[in-house]
Amino acid sequence: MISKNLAAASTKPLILTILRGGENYGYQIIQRVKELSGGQLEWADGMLYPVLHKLEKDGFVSTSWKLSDEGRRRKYYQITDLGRKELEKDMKQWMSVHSVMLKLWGNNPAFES
Amino acid sequence: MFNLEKEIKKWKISLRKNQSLEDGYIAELESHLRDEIEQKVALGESEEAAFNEAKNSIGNSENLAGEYFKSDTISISGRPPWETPFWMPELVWNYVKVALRNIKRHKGYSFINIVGLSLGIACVLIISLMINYELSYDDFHEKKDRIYRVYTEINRPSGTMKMAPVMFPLAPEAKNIPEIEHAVRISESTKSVAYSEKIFFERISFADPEYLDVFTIELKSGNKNSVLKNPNSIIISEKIALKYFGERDPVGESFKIDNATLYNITGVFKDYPENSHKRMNLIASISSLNENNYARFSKWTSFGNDYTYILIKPGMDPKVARDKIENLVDSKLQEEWKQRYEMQIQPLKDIHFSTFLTYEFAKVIPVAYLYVFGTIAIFILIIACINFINLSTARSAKRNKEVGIRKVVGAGKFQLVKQFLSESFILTFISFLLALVIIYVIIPEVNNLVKTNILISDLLNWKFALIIFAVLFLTSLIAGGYPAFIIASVKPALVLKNSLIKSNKGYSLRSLLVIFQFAIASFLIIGTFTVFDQLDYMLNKELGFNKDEIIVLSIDDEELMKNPEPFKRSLLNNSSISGLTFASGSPASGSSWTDNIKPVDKIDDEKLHTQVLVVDYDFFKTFGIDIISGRSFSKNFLTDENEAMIINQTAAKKLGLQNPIGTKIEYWGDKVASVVGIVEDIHYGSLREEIWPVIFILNPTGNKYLSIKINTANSTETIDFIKEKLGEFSPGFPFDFYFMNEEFEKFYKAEMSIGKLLTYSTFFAILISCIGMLGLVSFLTEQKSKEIGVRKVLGASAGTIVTILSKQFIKWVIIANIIVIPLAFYFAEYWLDNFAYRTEVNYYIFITTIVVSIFITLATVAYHSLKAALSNPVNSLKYE
Repeated sequence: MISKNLAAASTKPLILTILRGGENYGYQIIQRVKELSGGQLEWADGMLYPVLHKLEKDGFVSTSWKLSDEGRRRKYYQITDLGRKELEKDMKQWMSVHSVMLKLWGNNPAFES
Repeated sequence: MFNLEKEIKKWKISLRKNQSLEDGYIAELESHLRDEIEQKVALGESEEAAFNEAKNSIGNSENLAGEYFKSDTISISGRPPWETPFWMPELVWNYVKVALRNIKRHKGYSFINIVGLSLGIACVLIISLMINYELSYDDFHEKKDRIYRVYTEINRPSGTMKMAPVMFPLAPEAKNIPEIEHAVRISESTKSVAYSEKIFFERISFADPEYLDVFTIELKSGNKNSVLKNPNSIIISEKIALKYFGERDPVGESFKIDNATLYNITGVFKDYPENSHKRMNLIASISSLNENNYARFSKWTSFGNDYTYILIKPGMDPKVARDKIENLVDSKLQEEWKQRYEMQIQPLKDIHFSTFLTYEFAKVIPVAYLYVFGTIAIFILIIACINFINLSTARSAKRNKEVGIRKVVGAGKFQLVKQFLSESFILTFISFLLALVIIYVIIPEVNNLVKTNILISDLLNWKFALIIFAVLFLTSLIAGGYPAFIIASVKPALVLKNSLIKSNKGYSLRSLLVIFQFAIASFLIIGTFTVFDQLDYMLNKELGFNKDEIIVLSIDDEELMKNPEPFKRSLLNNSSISGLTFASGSPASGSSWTDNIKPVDKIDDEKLHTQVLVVDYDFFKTFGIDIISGRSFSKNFLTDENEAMIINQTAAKKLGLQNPIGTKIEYWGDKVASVVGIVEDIHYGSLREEIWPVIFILNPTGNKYLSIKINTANSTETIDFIKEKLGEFSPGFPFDFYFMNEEFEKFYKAEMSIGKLLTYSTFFAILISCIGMLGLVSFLTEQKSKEIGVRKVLGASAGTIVTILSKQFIKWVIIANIIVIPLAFYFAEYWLDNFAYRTEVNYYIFITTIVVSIFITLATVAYHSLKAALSNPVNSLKYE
């Protein structure tokens, strides 16, 4: 399991990355995350929505209500240009952390086991 | 049947209750919920199960709302409005207002609480001030942490004796020890000091010049490095300067000491602070003493009033210095003495509490007294807190409505507890202000009582700020905490429906606390009685002579001593004077010589440490001391002057002699005398000590102490007569006398102070308990007014009603006494065991204590219960 703090920190780039692949709605986003992480990353489902709300307020995503095929209203989220830039920034940061970790742990046999 | 749409609607309504969840958010959550349910149903689950799981997976609505709130708000704390804040400044004012209103509305109870608490707080602070004062002894010496005093431990086969004096020649030799920066001596003696026509006996301290480097003494005039350098130099305190010279500068003048030697006054120093273990007034250069005028000058096995302090070099180990002093002394002693003398050191700050040393010249108190009074202070505060607890819990019902309303409009239990705690804090704070006033008024009285020099400004330092804060905080927490929980746990529905009318909540706790209060009060009463019993015993015990009729004069005139007969005869011509005797000491004078004696045929190790009194023919007659066997000194035996000795019973017993009369005894090194008589034991000193073995040696001429037996009926005239005659026979010497009984009373000053302090503490403890009881009884009668009314209607007399109301309290008092008496007995016995001669713990004390406490209780309860008993039942039974 990934710790709560790490999960919270990674939520934003995760959502933005998923949205980079095309607009999506909350339920689907959660399903994608679950799928990708193989259950390692799990939130209380409801907690995604305040985060999405925050992203919208910060201008990283835009939203629109659409009617589904079953006639139900769904709120769709699209990534904005600002969101893309934010994501790139995030990716750089995550990758640099990642490379440092790799350097630190790469030759450590204890880690590999 | 499960209806999905209805459940979803209910769920939405529950979400909507939270103001942070807007409709848009809820719509999105609903869409999520429906997706999830659809999926689960597709996998074969029932609608109901799917709904519950989906609902759970969305999570707790409050957390969710909190997250939404965080992203919406700009407030820093991020606390959603539906959570109660920890700190609500708007409410504080309300708390203060309600508290003040409550104080005002219930004047009686507030008065009781505030007076009780302020007395309690005042007691604690005053006693803390006293303890602080005792602990501040010698703090004014800048090098106090490096100063140690050397003392002597004497090991004899009969036991070990520890004493403050050390060998006179020790200090100059100890200076060479590398760990020691300075070693200084104080050598004390009383001498007559004269300047022109002014002449008094004064205590003179001879000191090494470095004394002024070791101790912090402020010289008003004179140079620190030179004032004590030359022989026959003396520096004096401002007090002495004023006494002899008034406003004039004494430096350059000289004192005639012992009517013989002139001492130059080289400086004046500021008076020692009161909290100094030793306060000196005249310090003379130690170089004034030499082989010819000072017997102990180079003696390593002879002890007198010679004390030594050492200043350890910074960072050096005092233990090493001690070991080296021990080795130094051993190297000076003959082989057989080496084991006998053991040198020890004690830090300067310990001297004030070193009650274990004999021949102590410092002002000492037992450290246990600090603990005792600290405990008493805390007990008194607890008594005051108990009043608060009892009254608040008893009256908690009165505030049920307020609590109910507060709870209905949203106050949580914890919030209410905070409210009531802040109320008790306000009360405590008001009490504290009142306590300051009490302290201000009482401090001069305390200083007078226990001879301290406490200032109210002593409270103004961080140590006391901390103590005060702790006292206020703990008091309001202890006093207010329990009632706060009781009051705050009221169920609002019951209160507002009026179905919770009378509650007896906390009744058993209340009785327990009252019993505790009485127990403490009884304990203090017993303690006070015991101390005064012992004092009474010590002051009135038969000492073996009549101390009330004797006055004692110090005589310094050697001419007069050589031929005292004409002087004696002229005094005896006065019919008010029935006897007089010259001796080397006098009971209670504190002055005694000691020696180690042995029968000539015994070995050295069996020497007995005794007091030596050099007396004339009239000593035993004047004091009325009986000769038990043998005879008194007599002019008929010419050999008495050099070869006779009289011993007291204790000496006879300790020497282990079958037939002491005629035994030859070796004393003062090489002198030998035969025992010619045995006298009864008399109490020469404090009753705290066992009677010493004493030997009496004859010297028919004069001696330093002249004891005169007078008729006390006209003592003033008689004293004037003696003064006149002394002026005639011994011109140029001071007339200095004291009444012997007053001198004996001085021995018991500590016990007297303790007795007085205990009396005050007991008084306050009882007063505070009574105040609390008064409050409790007035509340109980109020609560029982209907019962009383019914009883009266049914024919109960006023007496019966009073009995019913007081019975409870009497029961508590008796239980408290039963619990406390064995404990008090044990402590009284323990304390009395400190005295060699002690009274027994009298059983009347316990009976008196029970009677007194029942009487006080009845007196306290009487007013309210009588009022209730005499009231017209119509008033209490009328139903509006």
